[in-house]
Amino acid sequence: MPAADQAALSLSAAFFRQFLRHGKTLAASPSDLLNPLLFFFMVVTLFPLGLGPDPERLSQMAPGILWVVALLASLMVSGKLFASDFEDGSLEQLCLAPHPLAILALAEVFAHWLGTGFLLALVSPLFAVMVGLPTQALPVLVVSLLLGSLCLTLIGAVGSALTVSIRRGGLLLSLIIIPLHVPVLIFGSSAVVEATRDGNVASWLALLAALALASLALAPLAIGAALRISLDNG
Amino acid sequence: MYFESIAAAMDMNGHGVYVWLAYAITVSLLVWLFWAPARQLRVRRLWLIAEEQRRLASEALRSGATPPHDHAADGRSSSMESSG
Amino acid sequence: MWSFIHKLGSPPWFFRFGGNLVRWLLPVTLILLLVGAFWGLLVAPPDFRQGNSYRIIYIHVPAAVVALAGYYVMALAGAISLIWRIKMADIAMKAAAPVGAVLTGIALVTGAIWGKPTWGTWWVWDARITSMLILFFLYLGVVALFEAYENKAAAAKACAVLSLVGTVNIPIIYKSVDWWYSLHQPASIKFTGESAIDASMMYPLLLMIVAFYGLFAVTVVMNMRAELIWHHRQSSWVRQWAGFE
Repeated sequence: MPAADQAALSLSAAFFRQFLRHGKTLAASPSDLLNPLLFFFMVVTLFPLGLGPDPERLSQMAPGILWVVALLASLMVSGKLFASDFEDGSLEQLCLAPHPLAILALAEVFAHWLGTGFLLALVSPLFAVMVGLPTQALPVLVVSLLLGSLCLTLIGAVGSALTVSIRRGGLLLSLIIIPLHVPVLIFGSSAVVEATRDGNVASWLALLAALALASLALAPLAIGAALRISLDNG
Repeated sequence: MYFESIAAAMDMNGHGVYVWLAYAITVSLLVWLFWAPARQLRVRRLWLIAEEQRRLASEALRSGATPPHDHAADGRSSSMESSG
Repeated sequence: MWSFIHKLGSPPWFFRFGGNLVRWLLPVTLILLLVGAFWGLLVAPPDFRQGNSYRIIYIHVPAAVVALAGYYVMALAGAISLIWRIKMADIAMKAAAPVGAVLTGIALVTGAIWGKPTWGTWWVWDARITSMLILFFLYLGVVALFEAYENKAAAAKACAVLSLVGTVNIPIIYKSVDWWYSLHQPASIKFTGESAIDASMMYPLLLMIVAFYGLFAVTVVMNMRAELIWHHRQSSWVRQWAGFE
C-alpha cells in the first residue's frame, strides 16, 4: 500500500510541477497572455466595420460573433502549446518520465487554458457590450466560454501535438482542428442565443459540460499518443 | 422506361440540365478514381524496369566487361559510354 | 478464418489476392453502376413533389452513405495499425482517405446541383449538407496531415490518431448540426417530409448504394496495390512481378 501511495503522490507532484513549469513560462512572457485578448478585441472591432453599425443587427449577431472570435483566438494560440517543449527537447524527457505522458501533457494543457481560454472568458463581457449583446445573456456567455474554451483547448492540444513536428504547421492545424470544433461552437453559441431569448439555456450548457468532461477524459490519451508520434517524426 | 423519347429524357421537364450535370460530374470523378491507381501501378512498374536496366548497365560498366547487348538499354547509358 | 486474416497482412499475398478481387469486382461494380444509373435516370417514375430533379438522389445518397462509412473504415484501419502495428492497415488507411474525400465531394456537388431546382439556390445550410461539408474537411485534414509528415511511418500513425478522434466526434458533429438546424429553422424552406419512399424508387437506390460500396472497395484495393509495389520495391516478389528474377 505505501508503495502505491507514494507512486500516486509522485504522480500528482509531477502533475503540479509540470503545471507550474508551463505556468511560469506563460507568466514570464505577458505578451503570450495578452495577445489572445488583443486579438479578440481587434477582431470584434472588425465586425461592426464589416457589417455596419446598426445596433439592432449587431446585437442579433453578437452571440455568433463572440463565439467565432473566441474559437479563432483559441485556434491561434493552440499551435504554440507544445512548440517550445518540442524545440528545447523537454518533450523527449517528458516521454522518458515514469509517469503517463497523457497526465503530464494534461498539466500543460490546463496551465495553457488558465492563461488563455479562462482569461478570455472572464473578460468577454467587455467585448460583448461592444457588440450589443443583451445584458441578461452576459453570465451565460461567460459560463459557456469557460466550458467551451476548455473543450477548444483540449481539442486544439490534440491538433497541436499532431502538428508540432511539422514546420509551418499553423494552417494544417486549423484544417484538422476546425471541423472538430464545430459541436463546441454550436453548443456554445446556441446557449447564448437562447439566453438572449430567455429560452432553454440549461440544456445547451449541459451539453457543453458533457463535451468538456468527455474531452477531458479522452483528449489526454490522444495528446499523449500524438506527442510520441511527433517525436518519431522530428 | 418512363420517358417516351430521348429528347424528353434529356429535358426531364426542365430539370434535365441539373440531373445530367450532376451525373456527368460524378462520372468524371469516378473515372478518375478508377484510372489514377491503375495508371500509378503501370507507371511504377515501368519505373522499376527502367531502374533495373540502369542497375544492370552500371554493374556491367563497373565489372569492366563489354556492355551487355541489351536491345532495351536506353539512350542515356550509351551516350555515357561514348563520352567516357 | 484466422489464417485468412493472417494472410491479409502479407504484402505479396495481398497483392495477388487484391488483383484477383479487382478482376471480378471491378466489372461487377461497373455493371451495377450502369444498371442502377439507367434504372434511376430513365426507368423509375418521377417524384410527385420534386419532379425529375430527385433523380440526383441515386448518386447523392449512395455517395454520402459510403463516404461516411468510408471514414469509419479508415478509422478502423487506423485503430488496427495503432494497436497491432500491422503495416497493411497503414496502407489501407492511406488508400481510403482520398477515395472518401472524392465521394464526399460528389455528395456535396450533387447536393448543391440538386438544391438549385429544389430550393432555388445552389447552397443551403441544410443540416445534412452542412454535416457533409464538415466530413469533407475531416477527410482533407487526414490527407493533408499525411502529406505534411516527412517520416511516412509516423504519418500513418498520426493520421490514425486523427481519424480516431474524428470518429469519436462524427456522431457529436452530426447531432449538433441537427440541433443547430432546428434551432435556426428557416421558415421558407420545408423539405424532406421523410415520407415513405415507393418501392419503384427504392430498388434502384439500394442497387446504387451496393454499387458505391463496391466502388469504394475496388478503388481502395487498387490504391493499396499501387502503394504496396512502391513500398516493397526492393523485395523479390515485386521484382518478380515487374518481370525480372
